[in-house]
Amino acid sequence: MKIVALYSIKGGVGKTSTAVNLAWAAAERGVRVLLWDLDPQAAATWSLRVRTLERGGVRRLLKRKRPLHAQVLASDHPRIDLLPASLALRKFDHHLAKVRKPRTRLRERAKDLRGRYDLVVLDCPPGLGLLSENVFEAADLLLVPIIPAPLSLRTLDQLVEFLAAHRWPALAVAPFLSMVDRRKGLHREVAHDLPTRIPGLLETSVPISSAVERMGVHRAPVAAFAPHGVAARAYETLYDEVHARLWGDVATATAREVRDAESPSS
Amino acid sequence: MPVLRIPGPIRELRERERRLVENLALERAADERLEGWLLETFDGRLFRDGGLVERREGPDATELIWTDLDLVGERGRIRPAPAPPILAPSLPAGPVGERLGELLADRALLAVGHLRRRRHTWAMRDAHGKIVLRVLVESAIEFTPAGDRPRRRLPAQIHVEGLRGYEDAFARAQALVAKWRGVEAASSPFATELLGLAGWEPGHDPSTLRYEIGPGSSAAEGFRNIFAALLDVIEVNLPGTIEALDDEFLHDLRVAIRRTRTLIASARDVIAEPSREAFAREFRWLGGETSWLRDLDVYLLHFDQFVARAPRASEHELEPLRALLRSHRERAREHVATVLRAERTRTLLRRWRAFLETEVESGAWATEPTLVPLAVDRVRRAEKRVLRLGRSIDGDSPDEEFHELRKRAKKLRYLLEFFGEVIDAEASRERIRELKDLQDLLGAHQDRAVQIAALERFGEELMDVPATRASIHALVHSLDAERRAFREDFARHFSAYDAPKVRRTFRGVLDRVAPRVRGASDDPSPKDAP
Repeated sequence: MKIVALYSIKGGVGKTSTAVNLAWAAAERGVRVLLWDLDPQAAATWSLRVRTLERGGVRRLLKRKRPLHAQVLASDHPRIDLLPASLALRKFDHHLAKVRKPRTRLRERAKDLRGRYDLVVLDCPPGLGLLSENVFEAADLLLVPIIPAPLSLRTLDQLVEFLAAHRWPALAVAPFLSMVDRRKGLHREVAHDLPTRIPGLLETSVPISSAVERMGVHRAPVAAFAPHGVAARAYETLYDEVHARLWGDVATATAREVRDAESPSS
Repeated sequence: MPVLRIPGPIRELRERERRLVENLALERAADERLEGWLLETFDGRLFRDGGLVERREGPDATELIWTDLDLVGERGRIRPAPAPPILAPSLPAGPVGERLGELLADRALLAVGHLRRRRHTWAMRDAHGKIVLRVLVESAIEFTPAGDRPRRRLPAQIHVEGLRGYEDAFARAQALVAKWRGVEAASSPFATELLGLAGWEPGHDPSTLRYEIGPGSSAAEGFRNIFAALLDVIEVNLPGTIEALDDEFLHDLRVAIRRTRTLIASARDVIAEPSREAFAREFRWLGGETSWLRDLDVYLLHFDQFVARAPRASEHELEPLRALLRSHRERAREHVATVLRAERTRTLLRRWRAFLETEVESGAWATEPTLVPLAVDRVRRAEKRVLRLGRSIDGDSPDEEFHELRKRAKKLRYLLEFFGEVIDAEASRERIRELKDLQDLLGAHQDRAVQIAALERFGEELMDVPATRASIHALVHSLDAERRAFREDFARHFSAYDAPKVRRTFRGVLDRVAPRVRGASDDPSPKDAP
């Protein structure tokens, strides 16, 4: 089982839309996915129409004696389950501070999911706190969306410095360009220069797209209602890269061949 | 997640479908024509794990769908789908392939039968439009088992599938179904029915011995029952071995032959001598014909470990060796297939089966003694032989003595496994556990010795590849160091087995169960000890 976290210190960079669409792309590849919504906004939960976290749910998430799997809800996709969020998660750090080994509780709890899922996708709230540290401890890969603008890049630098200076110098970090608007000169410029500037930058960039915005209307991933659009294809390619980082390249190439063969344009 | 399965005639099911749609406000979600091959391993491990694999053919791609036992809930999909027999290394890399590969280990996915059906899917949604329940109506179900069995049309069925976290919806559907008169939900999953139609026993490993012996059995009855069970295992593994579907068929075949030989050797005073000697000879021949192939299977199975053992050799340098092993194995497979198809093998098995079915009174079998004293006597003698040889072995003893001790230990274990239940089940299991540690060490030592001899032979065939020869030399050196380490460790492991307290405890159990048999046969001659 691998854990991928969609994380950024900044908000509004496309974490949730990426988490939801990545989970979908993975599930379409046949992988069993758990999407764990850790953001009190519960946008991922809402996007998949799942019931929000019940009263007392935050405590139950952290309690060792309560099987984590018992709180999982099924999505409409046969291979995506969800651990939902709610506004109650705004107090997650507060609850974490009261447990033993507060920095590693998420990792420990995630062990309960082994054998049930191949991939756990964490949709993380913005900011840097005890929950974030739990995410750093638990994740195999930190996927960091960055909008091609100077402030976003600065935030990435801050994150990388923080990880290096604290307990996580070896944590795999995979930044990728998100919400790229090719009509904007600044975006084009930054996107062009970035690969040399940022080591480990994923090749896929996710374009700004009305389809992604319409996720809120459809309450579904883009591939569910616009499967052939640029956004859906970008998330598939993004998943291919994530898959390669987590499990190696062979299946990526194979999956891409099969997908290309199935595409109406081929 | 919970699934309620309701089979029935299509007309009745349509009415039930209508009622479910109406009462639960279901929406049509999908209409599909599904067809594909059901796959399972020979030993039923997917079923025991709670699933089955369907190799489903789609318009654009074929994929492996790992499902629950009702073929409804999914555990993962793999694309592209190799064709059966499917071994773990042929699964595409990725998490689902890895997971399935771990479960398969060395067994192949084999075709059980071809399934075709039509599926209408209905969905119940909550106020947010979320699906909280699915109802799947399957009709036009046709199943054609692999092999000679005829195609079957099966009753239509409704599956009510609950979704995790939305159990209320499932409970509502369940309550509705419970009100229907004359309707019974299926008590077993769909996979059980399909496997049964194909002649499989769901979840059962056909190589598991099944026989009945009791404390009151005569020796003839007891031995016959065990021999018959062993013959069943031999016969059921023949086709898979001949076709080389996976390496475990040969392994299970060889174990059954070896156990047969052990029991034949112990069957003096049970089977009339000319017959016993003749069958011993023929099974010795059959076992010998399969040894080389098994060795090659093992070398190739552990080849990556070989590479890791040769510290300065690269995988690239050892590739010619792997290619040579594969080429030898192909030839060995052809040889074994020829032997197993040959008249001599068929005659042996046919005659052996006929012999096992002859009446005890015919003279082929001894009418006395009873089983338990004879079994105890055989175990006692086998244990004595292990201890006598083990005590004589020291650091200078040749490899052959270690090998002989290994054979004697194996024979003792087999006898304990056969007769443990009628001697003393717990004590026998304990003695087997004590023996296992020693056997593991002797096995590891023997494996290294055999591998060294084989590698030296292969090295001579690779004279024109100096880099590979050098790597083989390094590998031999490494294996020899391990072999010597196991020899040095032998004394410690053997003394644990030979510890006076442990030995006396077991001897006490044997003495309580049966006094020593007077006038029993001498130890089996070395010739027919396996």
